[in-house]
Amino acid sequence: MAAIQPMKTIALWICRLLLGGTFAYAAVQKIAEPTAFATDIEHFRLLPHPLTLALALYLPWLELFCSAAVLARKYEPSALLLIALMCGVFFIALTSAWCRDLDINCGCFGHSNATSALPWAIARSLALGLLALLLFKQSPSVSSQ
Amino acid sequence: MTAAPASPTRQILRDSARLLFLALIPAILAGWLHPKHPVWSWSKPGVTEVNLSEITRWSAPLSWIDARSSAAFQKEHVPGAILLNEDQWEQQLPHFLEVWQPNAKIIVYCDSAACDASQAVALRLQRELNLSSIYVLQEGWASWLQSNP
Repeated sequence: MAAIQPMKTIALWICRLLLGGTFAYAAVQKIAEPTAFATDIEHFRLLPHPLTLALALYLPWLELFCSAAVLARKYEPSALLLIALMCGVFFIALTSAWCRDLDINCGCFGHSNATSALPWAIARSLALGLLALLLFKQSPSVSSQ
Repeated sequence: MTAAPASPTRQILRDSARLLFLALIPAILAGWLHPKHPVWSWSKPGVTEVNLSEITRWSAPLSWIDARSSAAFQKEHVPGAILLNEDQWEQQLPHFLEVWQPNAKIIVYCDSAACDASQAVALRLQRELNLSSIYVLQEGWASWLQSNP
């Protein structure tokens, strides 16, 4: 039983690095190009124009703060919960775009001119959301309840 | 006497609010100071969309631009259309400039109402080449097919 503990700690750290690293990378790409990210959000046709501009400025910073919090283990449960929530929103937006046959770039990792496969982006947002929930469940303040 | 520690749920909510607020500060600054910050407006800037019946009434010469993928263009396109999409912008733009006539009205189209490539290409042409007589075909290639089966 004692031998399992270090393995679990390593596995949790790998998950943390994967989740935090992915969100940090995605955030930096979008922070660099807010106008292009606003265009990507616009292509989903879900929000009014002023809201897409506000979201394009705010969302990448929230992703960056949450990923930093996960990696630094400060406010970790809250950051994981917010990441899971964001993944849920991405999942709904991407699925709705896929159902409406929109030929768009998901904008997940900044703007690219090429359209990316939406099913792959949907699967990725689901996987990252589940990973965030798994880590949330393992947080000391949550698992001790 | 010391205060009782906050319950974990309250602590999580409080820290979430902290993170949400912290992200707001650089976001506001970015909206103001970022060199590539979006231009604030209440409505989406876009190129005027026109339908086929309106285009048929125009007397000016027309230049059609196909903003779809190369594969879709090779398969079928509006007669005389030029391929120009964002994926291969640098390679395709010289050809457009070669055949472009200043007195022609430019109409850009993509697959259907569900694509934004035509708006993106039209906006880019407007921005980079300062073209004014440029329009987007409503419902794109799908509407062309409907009228020209």
